[in-house]
Amino acid sequence: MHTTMKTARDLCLAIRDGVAGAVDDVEVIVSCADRTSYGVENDLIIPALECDTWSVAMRALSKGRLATATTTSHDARDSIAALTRALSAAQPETLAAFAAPEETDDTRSCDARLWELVDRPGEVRRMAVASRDGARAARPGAPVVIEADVTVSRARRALATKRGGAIVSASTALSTFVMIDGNDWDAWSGTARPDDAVVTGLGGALVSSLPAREVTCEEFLGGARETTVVIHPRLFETLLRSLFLERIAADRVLAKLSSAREGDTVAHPSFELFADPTAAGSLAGGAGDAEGVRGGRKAVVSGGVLRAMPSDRRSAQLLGGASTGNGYRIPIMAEDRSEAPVRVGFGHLEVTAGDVARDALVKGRTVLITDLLGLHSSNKATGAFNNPIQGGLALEDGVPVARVKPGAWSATGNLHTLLRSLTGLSRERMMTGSALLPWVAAPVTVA
Amino acid sequence: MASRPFPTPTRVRYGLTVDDDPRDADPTKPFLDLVAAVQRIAEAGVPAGVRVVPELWSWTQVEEKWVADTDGVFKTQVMPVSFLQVVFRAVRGDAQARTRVRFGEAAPLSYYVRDGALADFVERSLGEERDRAVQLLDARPLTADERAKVTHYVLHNSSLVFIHEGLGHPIEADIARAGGSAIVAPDGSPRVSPLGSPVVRIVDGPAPDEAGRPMASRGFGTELIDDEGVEVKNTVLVEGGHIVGMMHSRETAHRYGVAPTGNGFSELGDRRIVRMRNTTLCPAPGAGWADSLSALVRDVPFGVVLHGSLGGAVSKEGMSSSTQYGWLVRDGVVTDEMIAPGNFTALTAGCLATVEGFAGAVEAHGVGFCGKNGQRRRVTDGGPEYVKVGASPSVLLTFEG
Repeated sequence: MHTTMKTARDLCLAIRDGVAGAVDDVEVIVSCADRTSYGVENDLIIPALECDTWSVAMRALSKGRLATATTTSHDARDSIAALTRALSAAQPETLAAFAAPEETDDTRSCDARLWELVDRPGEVRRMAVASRDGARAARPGAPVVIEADVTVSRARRALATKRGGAIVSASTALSTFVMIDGNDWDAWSGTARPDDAVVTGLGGALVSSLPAREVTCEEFLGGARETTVVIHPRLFETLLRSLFLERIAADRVLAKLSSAREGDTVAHPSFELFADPTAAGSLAGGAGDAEGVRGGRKAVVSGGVLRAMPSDRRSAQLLGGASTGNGYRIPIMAEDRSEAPVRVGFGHLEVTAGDVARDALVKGRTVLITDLLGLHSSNKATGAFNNPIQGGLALEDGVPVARVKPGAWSATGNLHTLLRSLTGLSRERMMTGSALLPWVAAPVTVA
Repeated sequence: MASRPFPTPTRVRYGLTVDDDPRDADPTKPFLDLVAAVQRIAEAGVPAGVRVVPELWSWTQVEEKWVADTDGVFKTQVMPVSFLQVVFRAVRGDAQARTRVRFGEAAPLSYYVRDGALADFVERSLGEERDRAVQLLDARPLTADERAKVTHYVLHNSSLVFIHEGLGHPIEADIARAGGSAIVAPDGSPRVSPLGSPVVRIVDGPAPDEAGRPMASRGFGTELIDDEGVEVKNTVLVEGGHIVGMMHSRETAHRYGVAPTGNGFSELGDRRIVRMRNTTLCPAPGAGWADSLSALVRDVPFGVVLHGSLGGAVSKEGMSSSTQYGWLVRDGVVTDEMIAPGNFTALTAGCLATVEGFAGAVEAHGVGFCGKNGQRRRVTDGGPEYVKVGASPSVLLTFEG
């Protein structure tokens, strides 16, 4: 591990030093990743192995202009040549300088057992197959379509600028999911290797937890209506990252796409949201963001009031403050991560737990919404969503009594309205891999 | 027995002509011209009290692909591809509305911008979408009563992503084999027959011309060979409303005992899977075609013409796609009552059963990036300019809250 970290660091510094003399500032991010993955489609077992995948993302500032370049080479000369060529196409830039990070070695999100597992594909395969077999055994004799996947990966990353670094980190990740009949699914992901039973038992646990009966909205609720539903933490995280960020991120405010200001009431008084881009053990935590800024744990919302707008270095400079460490290379459409420009994003998220048991969040008949199909097409301008429910459960007094019939339910709402109208937060929280969130209850129109 | 040369020494070359290769000519100026043009359009003709904020993404590339294997395949392809997306956000006080328009083609950037000027069709389309974003500030959703009255949906070809999501994915052989298709059984036999009304014909392959005939050199999803070296075939998936074929890689073709169709693709280093290219509703000439939109809606008592999509998603049973805006149809006439963004949901097995007719030229209009199994691939969907679908329990239009 330490040898490969040093290699990434050496390459990063060689590129930086090769360019630094010709520019006002330079930022270099080098990463090298390995991945071992096994997918299962019923009886079909599909391996996917990726070894020594290098990527180099570079930015340079020269005379008020910004140049960017990326390569996949681990020869410093290739990257130096690419960035030098890019200087001729540099564009006017408001960002005055890159960060000056302190030299850091970060292995907090690196688990030695998981690091080694990447080199043992047979073991990864066994876990994926066991998850499938567990699902089959939980419903013997019934035709079940099972998709499952176990992916383990490790990465070394180094970031340096002309004035600082290198921040060097090693990280590991395991993610697994299982889907039954193309609709109901469960997943687990984290940076440390869990007990094997968490992975191998995922399929069986999912199938065992699903009620046999499925219902339509008409059958269960008598037709379309607004009702207080329970939103699963994974879906809540997706809504926060895709729609809430659009409202409160500093770059969106600067672009006049949002009129949000610190001090605005954006949620129910019970809602507290913390952002912690440096959270150890989170897939969304690290030694710094993609600009080398080490942001700390901050209250983004407390008492329902917006306390701090997430920012990157550019937006912070324009607002006259310091970056909160939320500058990430977030790819859009076909961009690779290393090609994507720095955009304001969320790292690790936490929402404070409520004081109500999860199964007491709602009374009477309603639904737990696990996922919404096509949520990426929700309206970022307004916060509105309007999508079919995928993998939900019909609840009676908080207890699952049926599965929601695939293709027969939709949910319509607006995240910003929903946050202000929260009726409950569970005292249980789920670590999704990148966020620690409760189940939440709020009014949504289901049809 | 003489050993076979490895690989075959003679390289078979495929490719399209590259007029302005970004490896040789710096594309910075045309990109800056694009930025200036989009900013100019965003500021033009906007009513007082409204701002239009544009967002532009664009790229151009020349992709070289080399495929060689131990069976002796040795083929290469050179493919220029360019992409342009503009989002217009109209802002009036706290109210916001947006439209998005995309262009993508197997062509160099000069297809869209040349000598500082936008191509006419791009200039015109951007102006229209800017105006739509402004109009959307005053658009309304259909009421519950109105939704219950709808007899027809008329889908503009910018909103035909359901062809890709609802009909394309379930006819990919790897999805069918895994039991993930609601319309094709794992043994390849149709689960639903007929799938659609007799006028329905769906094709995947090269982008179609106005009459629905394949053009090898056009389409954002176009390839001449797949990533296994198989020449891309024009593959008819649905004919006369019946499923007649599937999309195959070499591996799935072998499993089903048929010829590969040139649909085997993967991101470098990832698993090879079956992918769509340009998937288009290409009805045969004859019954079902109307001369114009006004003729197509003449017998529609109450309906809505839907435009645009910000993407879709598929599940085993059905699909969902957003719609950007719509126009109400009353008593056989398209009105100027604008309908707010919504969501078009369709159950795969039944959504084509009520397709009644078409109007306008066929075009692979919908430019997108399909994300199957986490692998991105450029694709298009499309069909006639307008497709008329009768209301049924298999299709549902809902609106944002």
